[in-house]
Amino acid sequence: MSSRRILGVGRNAAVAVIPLLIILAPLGHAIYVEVLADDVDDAQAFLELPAEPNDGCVRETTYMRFHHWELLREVRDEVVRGGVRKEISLTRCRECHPSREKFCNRCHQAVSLEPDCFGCHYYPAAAAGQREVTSR
Amino acid sequence: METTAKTSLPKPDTPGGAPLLVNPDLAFIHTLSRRIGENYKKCMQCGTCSATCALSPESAPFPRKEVIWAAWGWKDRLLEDPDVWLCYQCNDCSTRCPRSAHPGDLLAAVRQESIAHYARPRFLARWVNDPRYSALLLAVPAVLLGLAVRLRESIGGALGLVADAGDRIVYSYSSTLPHWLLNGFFFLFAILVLVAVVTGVVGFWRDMKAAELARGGVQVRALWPSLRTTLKNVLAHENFGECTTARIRYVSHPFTFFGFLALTVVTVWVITGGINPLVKGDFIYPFSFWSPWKILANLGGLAVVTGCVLTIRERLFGTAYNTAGNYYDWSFLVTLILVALTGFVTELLHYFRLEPHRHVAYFIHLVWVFALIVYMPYSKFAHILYRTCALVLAESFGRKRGVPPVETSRQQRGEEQP
Amino acid sequence: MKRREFLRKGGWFLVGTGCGRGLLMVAAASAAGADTRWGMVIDLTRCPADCRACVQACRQENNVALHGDTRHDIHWIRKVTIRKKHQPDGREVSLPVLCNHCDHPPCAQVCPVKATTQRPDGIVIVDHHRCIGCRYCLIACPYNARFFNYRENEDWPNPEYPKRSHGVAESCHLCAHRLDQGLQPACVDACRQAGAGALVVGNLNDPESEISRLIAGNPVQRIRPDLGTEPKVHYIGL
Repeated sequence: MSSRRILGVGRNAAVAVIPLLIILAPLGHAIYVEVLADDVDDAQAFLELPAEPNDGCVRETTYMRFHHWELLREVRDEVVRGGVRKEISLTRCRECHPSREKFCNRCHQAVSLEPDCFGCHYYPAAAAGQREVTSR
Repeated sequence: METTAKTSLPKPDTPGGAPLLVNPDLAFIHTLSRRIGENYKKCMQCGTCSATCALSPESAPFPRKEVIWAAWGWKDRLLEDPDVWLCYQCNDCSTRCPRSAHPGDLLAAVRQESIAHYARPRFLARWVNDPRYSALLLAVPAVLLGLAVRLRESIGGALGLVADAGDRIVYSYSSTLPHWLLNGFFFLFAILVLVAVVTGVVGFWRDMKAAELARGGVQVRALWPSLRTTLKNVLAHENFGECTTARIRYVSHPFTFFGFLALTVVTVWVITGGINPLVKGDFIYPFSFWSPWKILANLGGLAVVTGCVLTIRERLFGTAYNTAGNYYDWSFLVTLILVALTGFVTELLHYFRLEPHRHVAYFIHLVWVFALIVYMPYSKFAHILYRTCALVLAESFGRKRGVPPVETSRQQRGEEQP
Repeated sequence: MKRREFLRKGGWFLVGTGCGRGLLMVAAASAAGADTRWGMVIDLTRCPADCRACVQACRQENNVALHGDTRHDIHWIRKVTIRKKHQPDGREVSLPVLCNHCDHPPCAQVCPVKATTQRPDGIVIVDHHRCIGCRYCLIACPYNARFFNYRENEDWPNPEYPKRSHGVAESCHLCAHRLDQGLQPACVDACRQAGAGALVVGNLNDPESEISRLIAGNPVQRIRPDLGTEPKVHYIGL
């Protein structure tokens, strides 16, 4: 094989192989996570839900899943600007959902959302003993 | 193939061959002339183009013979000729033609005709390549998808699908465009696409193979190894590397090709998310920006845009192409880049949390995706099928460069090679 | 006759809607407790010069930031010592100074985004979600009662109440969150617990309330009433 031919083969391989490696990288990552991270508790729920039986949330699950920020915003404006105190507040959410890390942050991190409520409103991320994070 | 009265190679009656019968298809000549002008009629058959073509096999060089067949209106022979699709329109031939007959343009026009001929239903092939129907062709998916969105609650109710059927989709588009709707909608049309693809490819392959066999060709390699070699060729863009004139495509095509492949891979991963064994728990969608799949999708979209921009630049301001291209060329290019751009706009509006803009943008993006994918068998995008078929056949019958021609005499083959 | 009929009916319709809206407004106003008008009286004869109970209680209750830097420290209520030069004895007076919750608040007037507003019950309050940090209200307040968060506040002494992050302006809101629950502001409670009872917060519209009686029965002064801001913090013994 002449050196020119080797270079040609190398060039062809590069054009084909490098993009294919990039394209297959996420699949490799998924397999890696699946195969190597087998200490993850499969039964661990994505969201830590309050123990049953409970009184239920101020709104039903579907509404909360898609509109909880709108609800909080409305209540906020009524309380702060209207001066009308409401039963709904983040403090009361904490009664059933004590851990921000195991409840709020799960979905927020999954969709790359960083609500900046927690810089001012107390909602502990960590359980006792863990490092407190005031953002995200 | 013997059932239709095609002007293919006549069987020799006597040694020395029967006279060649040509039935010029005047309508075909007019179609070609309308598309690319009449330059190709200036060809004096000197063969410079065939000699210069780096992709031309020694056993049956092109594009010289194709030019004379076109001038004679020999539509059937052109449509069953794999060499038409072995051409990559590098325009090396057009650059060197002493008569400026632009054989490269001619082969492009014949390829367009080939798609129009083999794609079913025929009227769609006509419409997709006619600028007057562009509004209608875009309106159809817009209206249908709009109706589906409007009626999603009733449809969902009738099918027993609830809005939050188990999927933990947060801040998704599922309030207007739930996944079951998208998957169902596109799956229905994917079936249509599959039917069109199969009919087109099967018809093309049969015609090509019959003509090759009639020419005395012999299958020297099995189909599967030929397919493997062709795939390697396609992935490595070897043929693009042979080009000197339109060299930019050795950069732009890998970008569009692999970019689109990346987008397809991510889309398939998303569509099959529900049944994916590697996904523990529920499939979380839309992806976080830092999810490896999202990163790949963004890279793929960027690659597609880059490749398309390079191509557009070459067509408009470069010297590689003789003309900037016609509607057939531009509709594919514009559709492809718009798919990527509308996708990015949707993503941006999603991260800016703008309601309802992000839903509208997603809707528009889906209309363009429809235009790209569902009209694929009828547009220039169909080259992914036809060129691959031709390459596989050429590989299988040894019709590639460097392989010596089949050793049969012209008399035995019973044709007067022009 | 048709047109006259129409005009008559239309006129009654307008009157009816106007009355309806008026009724609704009154109902809403009364529901929001607009007849309450919060004010404060500070009896300086009871306020020891070295006592800081109200300041500390407010800081604790409302997470008011103290950084150790006079440029950045925030005081919703602070003790100010003034020497009354024109008094014959030239005595010094130490008085708590806080937001006066003016009836014509300059801070609310100048706020470009209406983050600072006056509630119907007279309390001037900042909506920190809307505040853009322009600090116009700081300049506008003639009592220097407003402060800006030049820094992130690291401490959170009272997790039950939010703290403010870097970039917003703030000032005393008479512990509106406690008043709304029927409690007294933290400074008032702390002063009472310290034994002084100098701070009194109540409803100025109620003639029977303690604050109204104090104002009626004592010579009260307000700081710079000539400015026309109509402050609602009254001092006895200034």
